[in-house]
Amino acid sequence: MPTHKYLVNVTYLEEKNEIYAYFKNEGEQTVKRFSFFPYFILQKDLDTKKVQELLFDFKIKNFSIEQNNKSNKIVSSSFDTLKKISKVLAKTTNKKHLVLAPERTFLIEKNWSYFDTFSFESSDVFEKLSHQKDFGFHLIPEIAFEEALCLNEKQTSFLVEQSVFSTLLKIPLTKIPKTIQEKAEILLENIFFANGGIISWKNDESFYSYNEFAPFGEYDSISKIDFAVIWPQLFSKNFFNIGQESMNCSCCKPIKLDDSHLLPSSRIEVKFNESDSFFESSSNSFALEFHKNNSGKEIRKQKKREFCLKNYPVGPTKKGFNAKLPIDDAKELLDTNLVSLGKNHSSQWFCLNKESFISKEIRLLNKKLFEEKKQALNKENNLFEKPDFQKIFSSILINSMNSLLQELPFQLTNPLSSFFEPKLAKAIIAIQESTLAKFKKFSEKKGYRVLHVNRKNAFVKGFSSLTLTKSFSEELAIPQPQIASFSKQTKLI
Amino acid sequence: MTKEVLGTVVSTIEGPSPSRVDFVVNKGKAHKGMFVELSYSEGTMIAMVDELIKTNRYFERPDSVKTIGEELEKNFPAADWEFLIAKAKPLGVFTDKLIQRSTFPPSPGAKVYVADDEHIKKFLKLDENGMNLGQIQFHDVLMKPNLSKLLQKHLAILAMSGAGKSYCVSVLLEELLSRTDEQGQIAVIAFDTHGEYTCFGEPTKTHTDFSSKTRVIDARNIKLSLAKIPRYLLDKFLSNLTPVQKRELFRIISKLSQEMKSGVGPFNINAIRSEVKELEPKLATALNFALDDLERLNLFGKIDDPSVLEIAKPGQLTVIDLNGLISQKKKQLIVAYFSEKLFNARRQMRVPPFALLVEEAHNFIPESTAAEHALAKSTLRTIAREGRKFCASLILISQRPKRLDVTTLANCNTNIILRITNPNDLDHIKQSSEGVDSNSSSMISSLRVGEAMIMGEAVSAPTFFKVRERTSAPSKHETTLEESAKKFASNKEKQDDEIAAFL
Repeated sequence: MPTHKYLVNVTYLEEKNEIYAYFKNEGEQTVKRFSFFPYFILQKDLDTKKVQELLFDFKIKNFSIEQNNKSNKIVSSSFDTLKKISKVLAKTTNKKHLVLAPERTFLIEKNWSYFDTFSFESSDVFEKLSHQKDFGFHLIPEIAFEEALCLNEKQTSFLVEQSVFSTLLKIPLTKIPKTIQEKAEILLENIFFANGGIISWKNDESFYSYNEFAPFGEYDSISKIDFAVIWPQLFSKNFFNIGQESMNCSCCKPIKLDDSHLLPSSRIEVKFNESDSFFESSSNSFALEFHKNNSGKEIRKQKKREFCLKNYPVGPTKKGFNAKLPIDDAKELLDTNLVSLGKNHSSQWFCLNKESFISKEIRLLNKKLFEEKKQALNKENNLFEKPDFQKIFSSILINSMNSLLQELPFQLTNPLSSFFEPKLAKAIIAIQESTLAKFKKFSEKKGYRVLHVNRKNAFVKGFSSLTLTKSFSEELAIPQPQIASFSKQTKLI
Repeated sequence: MTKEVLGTVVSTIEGPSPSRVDFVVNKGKAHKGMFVELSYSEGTMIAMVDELIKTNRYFERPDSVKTIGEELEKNFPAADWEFLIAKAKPLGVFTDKLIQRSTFPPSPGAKVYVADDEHIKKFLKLDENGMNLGQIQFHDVLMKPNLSKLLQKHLAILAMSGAGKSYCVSVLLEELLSRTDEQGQIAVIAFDTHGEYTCFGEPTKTHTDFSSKTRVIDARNIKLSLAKIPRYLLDKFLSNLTPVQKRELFRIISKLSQEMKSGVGPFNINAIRSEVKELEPKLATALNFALDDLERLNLFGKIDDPSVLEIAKPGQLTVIDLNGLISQKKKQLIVAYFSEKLFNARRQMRVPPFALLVEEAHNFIPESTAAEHALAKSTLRTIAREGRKFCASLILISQRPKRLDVTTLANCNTNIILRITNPNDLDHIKQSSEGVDSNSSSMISSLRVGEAMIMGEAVSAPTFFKVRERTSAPSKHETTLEESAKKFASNKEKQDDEIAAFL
């Protein structure tokens, strides 16, 4: 009898308010039952008494509010009632409380996941083990995993990948969505649920996001520099402590323009010293926002067309008039005396003291990824060793974690996502745009040409781009972007 | 009311003829430059007095005048025999409907009158909605030439330094800026070498405020798009490069321009440098020196700032203040670039009809200078030649007409000439302007400050007028030597006081 088993399935039986957890290894299966009531975490600033009264008004009765120091939970014996409660609260407070399936709620609560390994040494000892994955038998029960790999590597790897996502997202194999965006959305659901995060219900604030069109044609000596790898690191406490609750805190209000925790999404009021001038903004989204909301559209369109600009220029300026510009633009224009500094700024900053839960979770995932990479590196000594399940699982896990982490900032800035919050999205985009604008400027100073940038990659012309990325990250003290590819002749489409 | 007779046509050796009519002044005063009229069988002849002679037969013989001396007037009625003979040049004949060329002489004895104001207006083809430049001398008629006639076939304003060129131009600018939509507004772009028209952009309460219609651009802040500079201009500009170096540089610029159109976006000098790096070291070093020179000018950017569409707006005056620039080459390039782009944009109807005002035109369109020192010459010449068809007008202002390109000057069909005394300049004007004869030429040199002669397309005959008073704020440059000296002394005193107080 095997001493360890894998969690392969979890089901909820509402009539009994029980969770059935299925553990399996080869031919052996164990089922464990847990008493469980579906719940969600109530927003901290909501008065529990008032919530109770409100729900009674709506004739909702079979629920209770469990209070402790950390959080308040609304618990119900019926999952449908819980969903109803969430809807009522959303309508009255404009904030939506996440309600997840009881199985997922259970896993989050226990900090378990599918295919986690559990020790079954005796009937008394039952504990979660880490770093022991060999459940290939479960994915392909008919033949040995290595054999399946030889027969159809693609399909077998796909199955492993699905199981990896099942592990990461705490959802059954059958429910893994196809796109990375949907997967990132599920990860965000887990993160928000575990931390009692609230989803904004109504978003009145306008939001602009602009992607440059990629150039076409053939170009010599192009390096593709991957910036997507640095965003997850950049959006955690050591750099930008990103999160709704960590933005514009009362404890760390910035006092000067050079404060490091001032977000690039801050708008600085300036007064134009000249009329009819134009400038290229460092922020594509601001340029688009300005274009959409200000007169002179035709002249901007014309200018964009005439000079083959990637985005609309900002202008025409009016002498003596005030405008709020992104902080990077304002700083640059102040240097050229085109503007003078105003007083009424719309500053945005992040908290220097308390870490946001998004930042915390991203940091933990990064840490986990780093450990996985380290372990994988230790195992990669023998070139001629046959790949086993453990190795394949590990390599797919690293890739999947990477792609999920890299997708998180994009999902948080995707207006179709439930977790989209304009202020946070603007801050994330502003950080990305500001970093890329600085990279462009830095590269030009060093004699490189940046042909194109989007929020994921930069295409740089010139040799020794590794030196460029290294010196750039040193100068800005940020993680180093990676060279994704280099070729003597690249065809951009 | 019957008109008062001014004089009577007399018979002389020269006339009366279709081109010359002399008359004796009976009553009142006749002046050089005055319009007169007389009725005869062909219609009403309009003529201009171009010379006046006083005669007295008692004083004709020097010997008798010297012998009799003062006794002459006591003993003889000498004063009764003094006559004023006016020599007039017929300009045209009014018939019932038309104004015709004078082809038949009037009879001696015909009565001559001071020309009727309405006849003058009609004859000179002045326009009620025209540009009020001043008043015709000796008549109560405003000099209001039609806008199209004045500018469409280009205008040259020529005068020696201090004769009132800038003042006259300011009056012209006021008129252009005061036009309404219904009257038709054009864009005016002034290349202002001395910053004389920047005052139009400054708000004022004591004078007419044109600041809302004026944009002043400090040429030091201008940026030209490298991708858009015509190759021939860059070629002339980089005259010290060898053909091989130029070929390589232009190849790089072409490549970058192509990439720009493919979506890479505009480029700057750094982008050229990054391409130059890949050339063989010797060539790269030479080109890098040339690029250093270009960079030092602080003139080139990724996009034009401002662009032609921003400087050419109907009813707007754009003053490009070149005063702050020291480099002649930079001035030349700015004038050449914007002239070329404006003309091309006008050809494609992307900008409204415009008038391009070039101060110190002899510096930009010189008669004979090396090509690299006259970058704007060919473009301005083209505008002078072809601009009429596209309603792109030139207003050339010069104090040294002699140094101005003859072809361009000849294409300026209207000239406003203020006082010029330099014989070389006068000769040059005579050569390039059909309307200037020896009589007019002598009058030009005797004009006083503020008096001008207009001739050419805008008026049917050369006409003298007094430039009206400007209503806009005076230029800061309009100050005398004494005033400047006093101001300097008072500033210095103030500065010394401040230093003393500080110490």
